[in-house]
Amino acid sequence: MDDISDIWDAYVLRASMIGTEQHRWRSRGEIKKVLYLEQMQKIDDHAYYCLVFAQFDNFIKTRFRNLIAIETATANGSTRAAWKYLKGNKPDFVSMIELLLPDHPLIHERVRELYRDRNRIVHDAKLTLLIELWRIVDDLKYIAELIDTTLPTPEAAP
Amino acid sequence: MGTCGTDSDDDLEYRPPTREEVFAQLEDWRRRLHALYTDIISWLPEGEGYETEIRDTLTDEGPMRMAGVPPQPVPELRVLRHGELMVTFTPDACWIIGVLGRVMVSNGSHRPHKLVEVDFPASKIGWRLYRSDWPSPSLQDPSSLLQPRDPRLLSGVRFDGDQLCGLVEISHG
Repeated sequence: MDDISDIWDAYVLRASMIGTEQHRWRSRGEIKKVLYLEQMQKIDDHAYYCLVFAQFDNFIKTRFRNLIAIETATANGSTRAAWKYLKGNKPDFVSMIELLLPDHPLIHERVRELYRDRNRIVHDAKLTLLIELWRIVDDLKYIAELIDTTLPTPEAAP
Repeated sequence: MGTCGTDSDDDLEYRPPTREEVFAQLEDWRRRLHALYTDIISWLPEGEGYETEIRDTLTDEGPMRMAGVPPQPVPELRVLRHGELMVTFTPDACWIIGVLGRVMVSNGSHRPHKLVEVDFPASKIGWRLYRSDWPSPSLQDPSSLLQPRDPRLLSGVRFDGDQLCGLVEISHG
């Protein structure tokens, strides 16, 4: 998830520049320019959400492949057969998280919400949704770190 | 539009709220705002000339317009000291992806700060403050670009009496 930090850095710089300009125009009473910049920030929020979520999606799929490699090599009997089945029949995104972190129902719920939001954002043709990207990045990093501390690293996978 | 990298799970499609759901959400928002304001008022030191006013301001969010609901009143909190306005807490949005709600905090000295209400993870549940005057990267100050980012820019800080006092002092100074 190192790429999320780089994307986050780029976002902070953009948001800081837009915020400074907005404040400048607001103090001069140039409301049309303030509203224009507000919409530019919304477009950035949508774009960066997609970038961040794509990185998270890739991270989850990589960790899930790693989990399957470990479980098919170490599990026995029907459990091993179930993991082998999952190798050829990938579950949906939320189910992958449920299998990666089975004891964290609050995280399953949060990811379900984030995924629902992701669907809403990519279908929002007018780009007018309000997005608090700071909190979303913080949440995704938290979940990714929890997965990394719970599961063996990819290098340790058989 | 394309996708964000995933390719299924369309059962989690977004459905806009109904008129009834909009009114229920606004009622819940007002309740949560009053709970926040009750905390803020209790944090103000006694005997130092602080007074507070709660008055209605109108909110008009996208989901309200989609449901045909006209602008609705929500409470705004003003903190005064010896009659001078120090800080205003203005509700900004309760339909906002990533958090339960957002309140803008103006104390006259800086760009508005923001308070967001968080319900995940468990260690961060509650209101978190993001101040606009924390060090952030700027093209006008190229050395700032290569500095490590202040972690508060990402996670904010828990909003409590100390944070409130920080906002009031800046306004007063």
